[in-house]
Amino acid sequence: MTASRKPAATEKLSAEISGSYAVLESLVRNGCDTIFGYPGGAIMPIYDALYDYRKKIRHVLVRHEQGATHAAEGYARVTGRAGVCFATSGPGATNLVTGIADAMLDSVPMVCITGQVAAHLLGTDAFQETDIIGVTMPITKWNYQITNAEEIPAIIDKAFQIAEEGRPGPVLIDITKNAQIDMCEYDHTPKPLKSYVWSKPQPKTGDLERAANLINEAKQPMMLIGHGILISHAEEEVRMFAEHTGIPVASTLHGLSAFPTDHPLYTGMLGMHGNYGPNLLTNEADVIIAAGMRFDDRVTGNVSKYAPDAKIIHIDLDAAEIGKNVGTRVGIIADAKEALQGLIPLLLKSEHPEWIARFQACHHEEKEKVLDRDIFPKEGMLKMGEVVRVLSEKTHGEAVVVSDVGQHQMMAARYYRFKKSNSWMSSGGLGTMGFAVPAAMGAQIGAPDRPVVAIVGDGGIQMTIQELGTIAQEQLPVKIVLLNNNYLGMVRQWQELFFDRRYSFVHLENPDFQTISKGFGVPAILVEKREQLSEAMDRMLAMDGPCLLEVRVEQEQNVFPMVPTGASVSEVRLD
Amino acid sequence: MATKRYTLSIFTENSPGVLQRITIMFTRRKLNIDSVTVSETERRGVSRFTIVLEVDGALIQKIAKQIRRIIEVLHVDVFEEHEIIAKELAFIRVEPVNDAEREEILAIVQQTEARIIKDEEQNIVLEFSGTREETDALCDHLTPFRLTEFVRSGRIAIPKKGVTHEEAIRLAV
Repeated sequence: MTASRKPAATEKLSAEISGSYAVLESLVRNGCDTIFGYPGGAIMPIYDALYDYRKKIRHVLVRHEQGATHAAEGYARVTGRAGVCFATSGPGATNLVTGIADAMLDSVPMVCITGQVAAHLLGTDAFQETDIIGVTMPITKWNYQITNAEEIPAIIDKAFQIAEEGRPGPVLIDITKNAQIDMCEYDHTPKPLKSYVWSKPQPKTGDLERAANLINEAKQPMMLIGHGILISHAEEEVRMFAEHTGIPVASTLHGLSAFPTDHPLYTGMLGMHGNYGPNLLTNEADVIIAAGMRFDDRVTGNVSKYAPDAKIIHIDLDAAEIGKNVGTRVGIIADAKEALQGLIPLLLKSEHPEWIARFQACHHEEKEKVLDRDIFPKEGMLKMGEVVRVLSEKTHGEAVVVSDVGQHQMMAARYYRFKKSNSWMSSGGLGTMGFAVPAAMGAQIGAPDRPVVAIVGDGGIQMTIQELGTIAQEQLPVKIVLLNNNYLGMVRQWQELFFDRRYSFVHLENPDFQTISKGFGVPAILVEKREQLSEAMDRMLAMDGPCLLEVRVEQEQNVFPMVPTGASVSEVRLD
Repeated sequence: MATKRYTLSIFTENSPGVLQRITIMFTRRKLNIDSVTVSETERRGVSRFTIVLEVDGALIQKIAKQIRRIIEVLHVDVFEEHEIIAKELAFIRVEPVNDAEREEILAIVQQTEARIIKDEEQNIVLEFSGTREETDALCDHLTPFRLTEFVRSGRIAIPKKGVTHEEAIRLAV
């Protein structure tokens, strides 16, 4: 690489630079300060240019490209800005696929940049050539292949705009090697985008009035909140809405932490392993106000038996979500914050004490049958729920909690008492095992001043365990709580309940996680008894750097409540 | 599920891959498309897709909204049969063995609005534009006269009520 290919040191408005430098200049001007990536043949010119940007951009060398995508998701979810990944062509690019699909289903802004073979080799089955545009078309919000260096600045601007605007999502930009090497004119003045115009839909007055009339006349209303509340920063509007109308609030898995867990109007989590009251009473509600959530099948259970008496008001920025899974009486296509701001002045001050009492009664029943046994067990092996409770107490409900997928995920979602907004992330839509360790890594980089704790199972951690090496190299103070029950617990639970206890390939003979973690340079602590837990948790949290706390928990514990597949939410089981 | 024939008019930026992005919305729900026609519109840089399929009415509305979400898509209309003027183009090759047959073919051509575009002794090529049903009827008439080749285009359609996409493509490139 010759010096002439670098951007001119002088502040000229326009300069001739190589495509690779144009990529990095464009990233910087779009606010990118961190890249999670892995180099390889087809992206080497960009990595060479990156060497000159070490002071402006932090590059985190992950151990597998999937780790880069989840780390970018973690970073994006705490910062609200697109996470950025680099990967080479072929296997580097295909290793991004799981994380891209994860970001697509969970509406996480991400910009992935992949190297590609030179344009003249496209379609020839060249070394490490994969049609990554074709592969990722169904799982990206947008993707594009750049074959000409001149396209780079405008396309990267457009990539960030698309990833972050509206309903966020992943964008993949594939850049052929010749386009990375060739020179192009780079204009340092920000240019308006020519090819993509997006205007934010505004809530319609008529829709707001119709919604307000339904809410004002409701006897047994419920509010359901989701990820959209966090994305649009509508936490305060939700609180005002709830307190003004006296309407109880329930959250989806991704809406957790948008509303304080200890708020008197908070009734808990919806869904398959959500709380008893919000599931059971959904089918008695007369009006449902759903904001920034999408009626996923894990939330609705059997959709034909879902909320039969409710008039549903659905607020979502994505018009395609309105009426997709459940019929709605009023659809408000708007950002949740703006919709609630428009709605609140139209609402009468109200209270629903009898209706709230129903939720409280459900809570007491759940507490007696499930919750106390989960989080305050007196004897037997340690339970997953009590580990989460102790973590919640010791972090004062203020940590960023990142969960993997499985039983521990549901325990973390159910028992961590969130006091701060934007404190929870998990792989919800795709249910990606292996998400938590790299996502926690990205979250810690995006929120360096907050404690970040990953909660993982012994199955999931082994899918991305190599990222412990990245955590050690970057000296990230991520704390990892490993709930080890030697089972793929959620699958085992289903086999126990629905497949006559035929435990088909769910038992794990695990490696020595203590040795592995220490081998990666991450200190590890082992807890096998209840009396060790508190002190061990303190030690972990007091560490300046990373730490893995492995807790051996009861092997065959089940997660309840549970809405069995195909059942109605009102058929939620407590045991 | 009661299915009906629907015609989608989809206006998009003219860029590579858009056809694939649109067809993914059908293939992921395992729906089979009857016909697709793509062409440039009155506006340079804007393409028009005409897609026909038999599908449930509630489902087609959901799919249309998902198609609208594709970045390159500018506007989507869903039409029922009575809302559009729709035609397709067909070429039909017939090979009469004697003059009598030849006369009969010419008579059929006169009765319908088919046109002869190539006329050799045993090689007549007809052009016909019409609805799918009209084309099928013509083929039925011609089958006895050694109909050896038949090709037809996908449907093109235009709404009876007037232009619906003007505002949406005004903002495009």
